[in-house]
Amino acid sequence: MKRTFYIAIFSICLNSCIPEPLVVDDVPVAGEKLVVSTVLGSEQVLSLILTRSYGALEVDLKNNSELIENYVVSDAEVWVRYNNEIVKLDQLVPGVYGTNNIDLNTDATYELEVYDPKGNRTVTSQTELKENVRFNDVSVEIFNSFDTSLQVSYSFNDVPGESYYMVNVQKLSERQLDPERILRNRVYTHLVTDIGFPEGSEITGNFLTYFRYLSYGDTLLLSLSNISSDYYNYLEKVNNGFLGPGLINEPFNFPTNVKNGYGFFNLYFRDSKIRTLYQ
Amino acid sequence: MCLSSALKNEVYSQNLHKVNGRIASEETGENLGLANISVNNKYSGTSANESGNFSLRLPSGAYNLSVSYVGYETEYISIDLKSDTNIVFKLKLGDKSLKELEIVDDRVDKFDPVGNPQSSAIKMTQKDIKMVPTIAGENDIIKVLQLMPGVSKGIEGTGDFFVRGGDADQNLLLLDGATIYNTGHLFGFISVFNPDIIGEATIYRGAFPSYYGGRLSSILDVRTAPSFSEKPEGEGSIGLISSKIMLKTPIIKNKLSFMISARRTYIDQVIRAASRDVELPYYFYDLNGRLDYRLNEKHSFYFSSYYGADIMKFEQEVEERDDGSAFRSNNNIFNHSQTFGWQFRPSSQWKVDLEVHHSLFQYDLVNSFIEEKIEAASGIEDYGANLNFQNNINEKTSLFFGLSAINHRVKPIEFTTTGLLASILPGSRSPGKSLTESSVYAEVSHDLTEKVRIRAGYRQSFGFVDNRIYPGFEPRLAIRYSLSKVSSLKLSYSRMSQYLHRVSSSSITLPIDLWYSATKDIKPQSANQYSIGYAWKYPANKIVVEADIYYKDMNNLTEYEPGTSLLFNAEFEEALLQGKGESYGAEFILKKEGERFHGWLTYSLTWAYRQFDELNEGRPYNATYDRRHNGAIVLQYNVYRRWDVSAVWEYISGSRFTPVIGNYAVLNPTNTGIDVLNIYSDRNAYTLSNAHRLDLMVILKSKLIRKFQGEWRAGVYNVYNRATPVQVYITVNEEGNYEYVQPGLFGTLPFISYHFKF
Repeated sequence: MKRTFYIAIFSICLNSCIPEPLVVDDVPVAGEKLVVSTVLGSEQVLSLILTRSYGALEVDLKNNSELIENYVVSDAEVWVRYNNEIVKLDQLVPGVYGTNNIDLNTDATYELEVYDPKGNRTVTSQTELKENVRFNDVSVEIFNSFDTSLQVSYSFNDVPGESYYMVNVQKLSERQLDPERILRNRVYTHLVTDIGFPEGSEITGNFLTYFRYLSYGDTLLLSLSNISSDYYNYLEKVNNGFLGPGLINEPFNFPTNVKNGYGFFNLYFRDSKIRTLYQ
Repeated sequence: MCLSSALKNEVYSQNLHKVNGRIASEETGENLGLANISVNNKYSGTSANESGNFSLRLPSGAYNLSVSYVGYETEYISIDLKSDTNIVFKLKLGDKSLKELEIVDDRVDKFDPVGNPQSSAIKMTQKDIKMVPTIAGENDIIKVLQLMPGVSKGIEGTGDFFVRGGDADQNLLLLDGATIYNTGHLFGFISVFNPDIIGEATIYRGAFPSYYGGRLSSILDVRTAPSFSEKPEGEGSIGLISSKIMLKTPIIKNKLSFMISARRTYIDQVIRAASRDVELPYYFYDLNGRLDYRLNEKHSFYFSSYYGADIMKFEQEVEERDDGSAFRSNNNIFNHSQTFGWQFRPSSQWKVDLEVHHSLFQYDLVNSFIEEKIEAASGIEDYGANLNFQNNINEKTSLFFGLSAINHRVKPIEFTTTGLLASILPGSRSPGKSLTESSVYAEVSHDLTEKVRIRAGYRQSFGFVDNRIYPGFEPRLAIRYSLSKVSSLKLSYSRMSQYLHRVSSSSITLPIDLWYSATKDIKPQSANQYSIGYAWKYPANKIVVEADIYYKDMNNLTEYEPGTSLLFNAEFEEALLQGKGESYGAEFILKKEGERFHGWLTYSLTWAYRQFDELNEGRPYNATYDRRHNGAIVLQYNVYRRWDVSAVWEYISGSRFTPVIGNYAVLNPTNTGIDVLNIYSDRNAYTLSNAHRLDLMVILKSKLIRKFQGEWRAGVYNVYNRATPVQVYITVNEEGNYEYVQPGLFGTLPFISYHFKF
């Protein structure tokens, strides 16, 4: 009772000393830009998702279907150039463009050009297809301490040259197929470089994931990809932004390789493994 | 030498008259030995001998003589000297704490802002500090400083300040010559400078004397009051947040005395006494001490020490576990400094001052839960000394020179983890650095004509670090042109070098700020500053008006690469960027000092920009605290006998902010979901709302009973509850739509405190 009384008094005092926030009415609005996401399926399938950026006060982020329906960009013209060839990507469904007729050559340069006639805007980008890498081994182990943590151990062979890799961990469940949960499908991305490893050697390592709400019996999807240094840099900033920019971290815009737009045009394969958490 | 000889010849070729005198206490009649006498507010003058007698030889003419003595009010007299003259000065006992120790004379002439070439400097006394109502009634020199022209505040209530468009790490805070790195208790809301021990504080925003260096934007030189007193004295206070007491007493009359002062937070003990169930696991304390020893009329010594700490200790048992598991958190911040000073007065012409100082700032953080443990430590420790000489060559010319050296041992961050935490946050350690800053400096102050006085100096500094020497060429110039007896124009130029950087956000000061030295890759900062000033005084009413315009360019400022995590990042050096800055503006202050009415009015107009190749696409942007307009009115009025009222009204333009202005959605790395990312405006593109605030305080003094006097201070901070915005964020309004709002931190807060002295 006494405790409740003190907490109540403290809360009243705290509340009383916070003034009413002032209203803001002249914050600049972000100019609308095209956003590129890339999906590399099998060896001849390339898909591209085009959306547009939107103002900070425009959308209810909890309403995911609205986000998808209202912000995809339809009827755009999409081309990819490589090795003196041009491939046009067809619109498969609104906002999704693809082709199954593209040669995917490691280390070839692919140039993207997108024209959106409705907005009369063009974005361009270019990237290289990175050599595929596969796990030699990957295993998971669960720990119970201050949080349920997952340790992932992995090994794979380094590809020649300066290379950047990502290892992704994700819990698989039926609920992930629910479009309303699309924003909550959390992926843990562990970034690896070959710095410090002899050229072409086996890279081994392990890492912990935390705050994942894991338990025995859960099924995990683990994937390994060889990615570009630009994308690595982008993901590193996404990871650092875990706590969000605030008073300590200055705000920043995430890097992009799309000229006049946002997102990433990047081509990487994934080697995926499924593991179950056993006791 | 030739100039000196010529001047001497000029003086001695005229008829000289003797001015003999004696200086005594008006109250006791006791002769005041070693009191200082100055002529025409310049540095020529003399000191009385141990019996309080003095003698001067001056040519015929009109002179203003002033006599100062620790613990007494300064006395002024004008004489028209035609023959030998005898004068007796009777000094009144003053508020002893207001009197300053004379350390190095050639700084601001505190009594004559018109006559001295020094511009862009303001002296603050205890009276200034204690008259300003503040949050929770805690008198605070930094809060007073934030009301001065050219000084812009950071987040409301904190001790952040930004001078003439500079960054927070460009301010050097000295306590008796030793650097204080962490200036705030209670997360920066209360400054570490206990107001009871302050004798005098002066902030230099430009026209830096050659004695000062090491920072680009300002020097706050805080001096503790000498402990000399006639008999044991004390003062203290009981406030809402902290209580403090100060005692000083002579040990050997006029020879040896000491002062000790302690301050501690109050609220944790109050809560503990009120309830066993509720605890506030935080407290801070300060200890200050000073010992003064006057060997004879030529030698005097002092030793001052400061020790302060912020302690946050917390332990929470986990009820679900019966093995005694507990979360333990122990965060300590230590801050201390010591200074030994020697003042040597071989003759009335020469003054020699030596200061040897040490300072330490350190924080230790230990958090543990079962086997998981995270420990972080960081700190900086200085050992330094400076030796200064002043020669008052004659009435027109004085020479000042000296040398200083300071070694900074920087331990940026050591970070260790155990248990599973070690895998999530692997321990790391940034390499410590040893940086030695040394400098030699000299300056001459000379009356070129009756109207023109010039102070020309040069400071040659060096930074020794990583087997590399960084030289700093720092010319200084200040010129005064007298327009009349009560007004003058001033010009100045200063170049400053800074070898230490604060490796944190440039926008705020935090208790866990890291300091880091220049290295082979990180260049020292430097700045050029030009200013033009105007000063006018109205002696009869003790009114002074000063105005300045300035331009400052800054090089090798530091910022972080966008997206760098600053939390426990031992590899911060790789992410540091260096760029340029520029600021310019105008400042104005009108100050009135009086017995019944005391106060000042200030206004500052500022533009401050930054340019980094890697930030904002290389385009210049506004500095975070580029507050265009700053103004304050500070008043204290003796309404009736023992009743005083004081008020502060402050107006500040909003600081700059980088808001979220949009979003976009992209596929996550496994293409199984969507990441929604923020789009931010150009860096600092948005200006937060302007803020204004009124604070009021009433002071009721008790009657003096057997030398004991009490004083109640009660008031209200932010009378009309206006928010001073700190950021912009998005929230949902009553209609269910998103909107931007700007929250403030402190609304209307009443306060009361009791002060006493005996």
